[in-house]
Order: sequence, then structure tokens, then C-alpha cells
Amino acid sequence: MANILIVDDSRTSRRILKGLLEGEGYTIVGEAVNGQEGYDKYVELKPDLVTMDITMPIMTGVESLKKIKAEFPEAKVIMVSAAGQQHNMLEAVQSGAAEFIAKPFDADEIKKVIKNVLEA
Amino acid sequence: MFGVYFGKYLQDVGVLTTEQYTDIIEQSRTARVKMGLLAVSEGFMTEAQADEVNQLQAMKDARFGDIAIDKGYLTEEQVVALLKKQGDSYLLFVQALVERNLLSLEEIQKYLNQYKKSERLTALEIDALKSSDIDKIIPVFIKDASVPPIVRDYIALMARNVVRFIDNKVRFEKIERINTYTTKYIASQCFTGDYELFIGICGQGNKIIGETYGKEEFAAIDEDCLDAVCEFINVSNGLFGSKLSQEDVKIDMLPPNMYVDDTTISTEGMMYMLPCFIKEQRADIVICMETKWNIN
Repeated sequence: MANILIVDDSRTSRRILKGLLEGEGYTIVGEAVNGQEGYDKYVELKPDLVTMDITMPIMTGVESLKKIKAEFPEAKVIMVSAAGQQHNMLEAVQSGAAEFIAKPFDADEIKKVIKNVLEA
Repeated sequence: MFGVYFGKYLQDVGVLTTEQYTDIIEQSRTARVKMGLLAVSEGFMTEAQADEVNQLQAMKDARFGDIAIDKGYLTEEQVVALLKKQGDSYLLFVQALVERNLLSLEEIQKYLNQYKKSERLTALEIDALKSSDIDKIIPVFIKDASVPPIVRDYIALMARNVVRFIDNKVRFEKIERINTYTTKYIASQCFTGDYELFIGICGQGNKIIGETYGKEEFAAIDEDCLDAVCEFINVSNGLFGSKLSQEDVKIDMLPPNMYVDDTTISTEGMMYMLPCFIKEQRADIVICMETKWNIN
């Protein structure tokens, strides 16, 4: 099964997402609490997939996505965000985000999106 | 939902004990069936359609019935029928009082009249409280005409989300304009852009919000508990941002902040506080706007 890196400043979000993904058999290889740490861990761990929150301190998810994609164009990054981030989402899609997952998490939606991105 | 208001009054005037009040509210908590479940069991929708509507609810601030009508899954008549089937919360409350021999129907009417007078509620406001419709209930607690529309809209959305994600038996009290607010526990997030707003959920009620939203028990209100409350605020604010963006208003959400020591929020400008009680634990929704606020 695929290795996944979770990048989110919220411990609650990371815990819920981790529980859902591990329940599906995925391995969570790492967690990061801001965009910079997300980039650093991507370089170190080279996961099959990244779930990336948008609103984070130090470096936003969109900035982190751009940094990862600039160096690793093959990286698969799914943006995770509450609704109301339309302009950030547009920027993320233009910067190479593979998909988008809305908070609050819907287990079935997450499973479907992650499966689709990994199989693409 | 009327039961939480009228029931609290009956408790305050000594007609119900705290235990009787809590017991009746807890009983009514399980008496209401979710709309999606009801629609599927009535054969009005498929399970997949109900799941789709639930998912869409995560993306926009709208009620299950309204989304289902928009998608063509339910007719307005079906939604009305489902709401009726869901149960009239006021009648359930009255039924519980009578069945337990706590009050007769005549006594209930007498105390209802006293409640109206003591709270200075109009017949329309009583009907709003009886309706269980949060959009009708919230204006009862925001009578102050000076409250700006953006604050009203935000409070209404936050109230809907408290009902949706935390507790459908939440009780609100009147909004107050304040200049300073001190508490030990604050989960907060700011908006920047066309509007500058500070949103905080403050006080002991953070524990039940954190536990319910995060689906995790906390021994105390610590940073993990407030992190869960911040996520709840973040999701609510996202829905608010989404609504504003449809009106061409641009706002950005900043990363949430939390405070676990004695903290004072102060401003010379506009700051409002809406008290809400979840299982009688108080959590104040505090909003500052326009001018700079200080947090110490």
C-alpha cells in the first residue's frame, strides 16, 4: 500500500485523517505542521502522496506545493481545506495540485479521491 | 429546541429541578431523527443521494432539505412532510412534562405566559423559538439594531454549525456589545481582506465543543482540546468565506490561535459576545471587527 505524508497544522485534523487512512491500509510515513516542514519531509521521505492543508503558519500549503512541484514535478499532492478558499484552490490547481478534499472530512470521499489520485 | 429555553425558565423559577430539566432535555435529544435517514427510510431518496447531500453540506452553508430540493431529489412538499415526521420539539417537551406528572397543560400555559412576560418576548418570537428553525431563533437574541449585518450573518452561520456539528439542544442568550473580555480559554481565528474580523470561542464550554468536534475525550481544556475547537472554527469560517465570495467579498483566513492562560481581549471598536450553553456549559462566541483589537 502507498506511503502518505500528512501536512496540517491542526493536530485534530492529522489525527482524524491518519485514522481514516490507516484504516484503509495506507502507511502514514510522516506528519508535518507547516508548509516548510512539509517540504523538508517530502524531500526526506519521498512519499507516494501528500495531503496538504492550505492555511498554515510559517509557510502556507500552496507555497509548499509550489516548492515541492518545482523540484519534484511527479509529486502527487492533494490539497485539504475548509470551504471558502476558492482563490487559493485555483492557485493550487494551477500549481499542480492533484485533487482537493474539503473539511470536515467525509470518509467515503477521502477514500475515493486518494484511490483515484494514486491510480492516475 | 424551545424546551431548552422554556425548561431553563421553569428551572430558574423553581418549577423544575436541575435534574428534571436535564433529564427531559436528554430524553428529547434522542427523539429527533436525522433528515437524511428519514428521507431514505420513507423511500423519498436513495442512500447515495442522501450521502451526496451530506457531502454538499460540507461545502456550503445550507440545510439538508434545501440542498435536496436544489438537486431535484426532494420536493418542497416532501421536505415539509419530513420535517413534520422529525417531530415537533415543543410538543415533545410538553408531552414529557405531562407524562412525568410535573405540570398539567393548564399550568404549562400559565408558565408559558409568565415566561413571555419575563423575557419580553412577542408571540412571533415565541413561535420562532418553538419552530426549532435556527434561522428564526437567532434573531430573537440579536435584537440590538446596531449590530452590523456581517456580525449578524456570522453569528447565524456559527449558530447553525453549533447545531449541526456540536449539539442541537444548544441554548443561546442575548448578544452583548462589550469592550473587554477576559477568560482563560480561547480558540480563535482572524479574517483579513475586505473585512478584518476576530472570531473567538471562549470559556469552559470549549471542552464539550472540542470533545464533540474532535471525537476525543480531554481530561482538561488543554492545547489539544482547543486545537479541535480551532478546527471547528476553521470549518465554520470556511463556509462563511465561501458565502462571502459568492457576494464578491474577498477574505482570507489566517492560521488559528489558542490561549490557555488568563487572556483579555480589548478594543475601542466593535466587539460582540453571544453566550451559548451546550449541556449547560457556557461558551461565548466573541467577534471583533473593523478596528484593531488587543489580546494580552
